[in-house]
Amino acid sequence: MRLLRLSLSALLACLAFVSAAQAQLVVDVTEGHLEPLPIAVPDFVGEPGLASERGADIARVVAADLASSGLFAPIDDEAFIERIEDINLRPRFGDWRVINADALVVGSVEVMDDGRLLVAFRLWDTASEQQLTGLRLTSVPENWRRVAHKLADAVYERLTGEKGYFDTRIVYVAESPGDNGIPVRRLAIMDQDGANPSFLTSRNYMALLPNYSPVSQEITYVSFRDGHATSFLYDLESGRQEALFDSGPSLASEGQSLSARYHPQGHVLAVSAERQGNHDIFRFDLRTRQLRQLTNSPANDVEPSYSPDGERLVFSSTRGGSSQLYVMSADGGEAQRITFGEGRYTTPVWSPRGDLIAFTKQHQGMFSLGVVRADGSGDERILYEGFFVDTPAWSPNGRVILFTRGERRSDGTRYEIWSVDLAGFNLRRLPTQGQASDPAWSPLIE
Amino acid sequence: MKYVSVLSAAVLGLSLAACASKPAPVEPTPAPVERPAPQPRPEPQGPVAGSVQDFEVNAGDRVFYGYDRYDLTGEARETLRRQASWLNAYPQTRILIAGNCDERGTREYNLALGNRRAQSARDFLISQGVDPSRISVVSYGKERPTCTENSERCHAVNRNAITVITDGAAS
Amino acid sequence: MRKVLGIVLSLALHALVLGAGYVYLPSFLKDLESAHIVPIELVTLSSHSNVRASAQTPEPEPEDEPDIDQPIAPEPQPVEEPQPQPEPEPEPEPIPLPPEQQEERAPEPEPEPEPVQSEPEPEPQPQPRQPDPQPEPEPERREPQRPREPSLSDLLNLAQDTAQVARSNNQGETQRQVGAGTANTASARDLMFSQVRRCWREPADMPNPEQLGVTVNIRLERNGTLADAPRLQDENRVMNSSNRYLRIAGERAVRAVLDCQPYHLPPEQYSEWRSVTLNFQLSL
Repeated sequence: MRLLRLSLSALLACLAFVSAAQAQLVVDVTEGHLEPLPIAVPDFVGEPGLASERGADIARVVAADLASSGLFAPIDDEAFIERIEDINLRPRFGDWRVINADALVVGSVEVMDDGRLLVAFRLWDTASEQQLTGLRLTSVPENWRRVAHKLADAVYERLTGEKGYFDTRIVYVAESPGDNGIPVRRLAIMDQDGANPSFLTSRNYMALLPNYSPVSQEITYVSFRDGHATSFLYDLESGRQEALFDSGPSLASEGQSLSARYHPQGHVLAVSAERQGNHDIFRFDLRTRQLRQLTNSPANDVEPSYSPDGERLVFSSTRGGSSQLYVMSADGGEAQRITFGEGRYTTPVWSPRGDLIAFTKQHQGMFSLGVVRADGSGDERILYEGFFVDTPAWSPNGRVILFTRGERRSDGTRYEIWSVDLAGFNLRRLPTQGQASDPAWSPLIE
Repeated sequence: MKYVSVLSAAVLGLSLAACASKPAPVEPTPAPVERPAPQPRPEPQGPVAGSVQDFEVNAGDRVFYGYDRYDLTGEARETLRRQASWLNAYPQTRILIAGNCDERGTREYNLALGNRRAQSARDFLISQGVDPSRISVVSYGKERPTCTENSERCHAVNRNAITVITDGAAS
Repeated sequence: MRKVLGIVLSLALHALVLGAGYVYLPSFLKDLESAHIVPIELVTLSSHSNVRASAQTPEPEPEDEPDIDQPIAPEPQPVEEPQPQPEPEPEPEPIPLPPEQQEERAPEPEPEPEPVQSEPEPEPQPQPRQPDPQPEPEPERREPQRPREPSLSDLLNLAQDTAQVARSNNQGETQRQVGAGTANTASARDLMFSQVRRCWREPADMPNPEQLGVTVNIRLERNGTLADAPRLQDENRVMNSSNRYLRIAGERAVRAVLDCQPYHLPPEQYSEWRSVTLNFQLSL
């Protein structure tokens, strides 16, 4: 039997040899893998002391940023063979390939005479042994985290083709126990990775539902400061706050105005406001202070969100019975329903890429976070399902969604902010102190 | 969805008592006493006629709603009728109706829903002859729960419109 | 030394002009309500002139690509058989940081970080790769479990005990049952596919991956290593495409064929797979 095989194989080989003088093997590679890219981020080199400490810190934050995206798998330092001592020498690529590092980030930190840090880094492809990118940045030492985030963004962008989102901040609602059982809800801000948290508003009034301007350090939020839930503007750079409609035409009654979302160019807001008990969608021009009514239905039209081209608005409405999502022109007019499933659809938010709308769905006692195509075609895709979901917020590059996740406890629900990627993977909790909700993602910091 | 949409006053009283925290300033509320004729009449040791306590005890200061509903139940109408006659008896008083929701809904949705609840209570009071100018409404959505436990009973308690006398009550 | 001073000076200048004030926010949640100013950390990251690489050894083909847009052009691989690792690696070549002679021009208000220029390629360094000691296990997938048929090599491994055909330089990856097909190329093709796909990061994470097909041509030594650098077909079109994802797809394909060598293919069919065209095209 074995003999037969051998002789057969020899025969075939002969045949092949004869016939294949000019043959070219054509292979269609139709599938691969999408595992996180193994990347090595050794400590950035620097003189002993501040430089080398920060060098280690920066490498740690870069690696953590990349890992948090779910697209990269930083390799444990223990595995490293080569010790990087000078980033201007070519690494010994073999040493990095042997530990399966596809990419290598090397960097250095120098303390300059004025006390600022000079940070340089290079990203190498270990297979082609090419430098893919490199940057030098300077910063006051306290700002080293932003340096690290900027570097992580550069690595991310070079290797994925997408803009990074690490050098961004998140405004959210921080919750703490209050007097007589009503929790205190205050706006807070932190870096995208949870570092540097601080409060933006006082304990004296409840603040909810922040939204970030896509073009500046400005947010809108909702507060009960004046009794009603009312929309406010908050300039984070000057600290100036004002009620949205203070200086503009007042709404007919002393009604509610809710979460105000920015037009992609930042000069216009879409907001749901109430007149005589009924909520409709309005457009508010921040420059002219003009308010224009866009919907006029006897049902509650709430939660408007602009498409990234500014041409359309998605909102949720009870006009069809239970709450569903509708899309209309940014100037109003007829609205097209885009969700048809059972349950309650709320919190639509248009993706920065434009093709998808994230939503919360409530059905049979469960909540889910999902996305649906903006034109309503195709099936909705559920990214997360659990006890409670609210307030999705897209990363600036449209790859990740932050959301409020509620976990059931006997003494009440515990709220935290979680992130999930567009494929429904890489579910992670954002490190916040205490309970947190209502995330709003800043644009990339300039 | 098997949510109980109507709870008897006695059950409510019990469940309120059972609640871990009773944050609302108006708590604790004794179980409303069934009274066929809500005509306020000074009683030997009852609340002072025309007082906030009188309103809470003898008219009932809150009505409850079904899950995701803002229409009035028969029982809610009863309560609101008592509120209306009390308010008609003390025309100098002013009220604020606060709509509330359970926590099983998204925030903005609930702010709008709470508003509908308060509005439907307001509309009914007006239909019973209460002057609209005496009534303000507000929605707290799910932000001011009466009860914070994770139970359907607790959620039912939180789906309400609470009428608060803001002005003109006897003390 | 003087140059370093120059850099420092220029940096200081930048710093001065940028003159941003920073407030360090400690990592505990603290109150800012009194001032209710949350200081936005202004842009602190000024960039500086390029680190220019001065080619110390004249290169046959000078790399003049200015920045990161350059395509990956892997250096020629050694054509010889992999030699035993020369003891400690060859001394890494210094990449001379160029004189920082740059015009350190007047501070711009908000300079964009500039790319550090890529070094010119040093002359080819033999960098023989160790053949993998054993066939790598199929790595665990994090991504949605697309149902996936067992790879050919899995099947082959299963069949191993019955079809023990001794081979000199492979680890059983290529052991096949004779009679697997009349077309030997089909087998070589399958073997190639089953190996390359493990190394290929497919573009499924990028928009419109079906439009990101690229083709790589390679020539192989008899031992399964690359005879020379992989050639990306239409390299200019791919690497200079306005679709940045296409460029990444091109890089991933090249990396895949580099990463996966040496290829374990039937030596007796060497003439068939001496030169291979790989079409990287995700089937959806």
